[in-house]
Amino acid sequence: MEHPVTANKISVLFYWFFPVAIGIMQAVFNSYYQILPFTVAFVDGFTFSLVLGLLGIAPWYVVRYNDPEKSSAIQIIASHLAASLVFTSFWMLSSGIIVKVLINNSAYDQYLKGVTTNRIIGGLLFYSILVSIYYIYVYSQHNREKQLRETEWQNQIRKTQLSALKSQINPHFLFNTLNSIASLTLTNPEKAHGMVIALSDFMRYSLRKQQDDMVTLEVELRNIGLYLQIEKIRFGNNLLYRFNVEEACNLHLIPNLILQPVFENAIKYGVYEASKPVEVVLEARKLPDAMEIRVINDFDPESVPLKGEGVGLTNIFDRLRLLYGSSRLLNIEKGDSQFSVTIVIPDIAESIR
Amino acid sequence: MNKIRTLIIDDESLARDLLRHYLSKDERIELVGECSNGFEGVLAIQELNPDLVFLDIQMPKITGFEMLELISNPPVIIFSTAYDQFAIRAFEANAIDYLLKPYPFERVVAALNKAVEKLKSKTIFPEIGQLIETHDEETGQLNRVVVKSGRKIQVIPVESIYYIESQDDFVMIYCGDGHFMKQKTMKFFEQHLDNKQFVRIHRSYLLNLLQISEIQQYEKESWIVLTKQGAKLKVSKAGYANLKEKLK
Repeated sequence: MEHPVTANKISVLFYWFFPVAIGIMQAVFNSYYQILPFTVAFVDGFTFSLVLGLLGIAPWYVVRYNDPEKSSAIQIIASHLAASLVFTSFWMLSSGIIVKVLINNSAYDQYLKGVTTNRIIGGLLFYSILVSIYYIYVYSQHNREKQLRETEWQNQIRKTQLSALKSQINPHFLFNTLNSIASLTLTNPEKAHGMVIALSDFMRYSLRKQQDDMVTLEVELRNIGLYLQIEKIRFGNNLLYRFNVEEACNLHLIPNLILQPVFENAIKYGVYEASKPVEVVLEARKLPDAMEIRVINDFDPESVPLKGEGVGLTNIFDRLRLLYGSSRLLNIEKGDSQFSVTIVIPDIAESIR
Repeated sequence: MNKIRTLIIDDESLARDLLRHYLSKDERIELVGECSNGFEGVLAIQELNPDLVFLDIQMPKITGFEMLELISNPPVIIFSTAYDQFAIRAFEANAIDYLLKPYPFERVVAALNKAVEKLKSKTIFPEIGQLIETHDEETGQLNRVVVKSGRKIQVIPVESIYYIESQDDFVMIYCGDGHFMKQKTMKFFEQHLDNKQFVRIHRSYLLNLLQISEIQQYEKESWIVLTKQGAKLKVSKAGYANLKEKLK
């Protein structure tokens, strides 16, 4: 930690203001009441106060070597007692010698003898005030450092959480798709070929995009298209899909892969469970300072999900909250036979550094 | 030796295609049917009485495990699934093998060899329902219960259960659609239904709190709950304490 006085120009000026002020007051007082002649009063006042100011730099090191978090209270008190006595006597002695050289005056000697006790008390007082200020400074610095560390740590957690939330390629999807490909290689090699390519592009996007945070809606939808294309081969005509995107939305930035779980969910609860065709519709429209994306799918009202509404949507909720600091950006509506998920993407993302 | 009468139950037609292709290469197999969901699967097992079933786990309507709960004399089961989170459970469900998709023909042959052994030795299978149950003790809260009455399979969301009554070695589930028998213990339901909603009010009753219409004192240490449907259920002393605790 740097010395608080010498840290910058302002703190140096601020620090010196006090000894100088005390010196002037002392000198003005003594000459005004004619206790001392004008020049003598000023030499006396300035010598004592400037020496005090110079010496005042030193107690900082006593403070630094007596960290309340490391040393005991008795140790601290003892070292400050000793230091204050040394400080005060050194001040009195050195100032005394200087004034003796500058002012050779027996009347002044008399005066000095009279005020010695007062000055010693003043010196001790100055020492203790100074030390208190130094301790307050040390504490505030500690606190600031702690806060800095804490925000940094929180940012770190955020980032880790985000990457954990993103990197979820559904293993069920992956292995079932590979199995479909294995099947197609025997019956329909051409289709198998198309599926391997679609799966590769989808995987490449999902793996690469873990590093970037934001992508355009257009790019994200191209990837969703690959995913749906694969699922369509697996589920045939049971899956229909449609994107209605306003022109202005295509280049709007969204957190990458944020839509993937919505579609996985729509397919899991809509298409997997249904015995008749299910349509998944995506609508994107521009709001004044945001974009609204809505994904609607039909589902079989008779089906009872095995577990609640999937981790996927919880992940989106967490991700949006972490990114934009709002927990109202995801809205889920479950009607009699329609399920809709609405995501609002604000125009400006709170920076995640 | 007679051919092994085999049934495939899988919701994906491409997966069935592949398995059918594999099975056609093995002389020991006679394919008797294919089903694309659990409902069809239960009926097909009852009607066709196959020796061997290739069973997917995650399927529409009901899972492969839930299917097995509904069958009293299950055939030999080989699970065929994409992901191995269910492996332990599958073996507890008395599966003789567990194939992870995609799998090669050799893997199918190995599983079939096991099946042949099993069928030859005519081992008496332990009650499959019990085996599944022992595992279920570890799984989380139930969201639905699958029951069968006659030929009809019903999936009951747990919220719609009024109460559960214990009979000798099974329970009777009372709900909006009537009452259904299930080969499970009272203890199982007590552990796996949301205990904020379901309270054991008596040795014989597990009650959905939302169904209470009135509680009457009947003797010094016994009470009666009147349900919204007008049923009267006995409440024991311990059950009354449970109720008071939950209704606080």
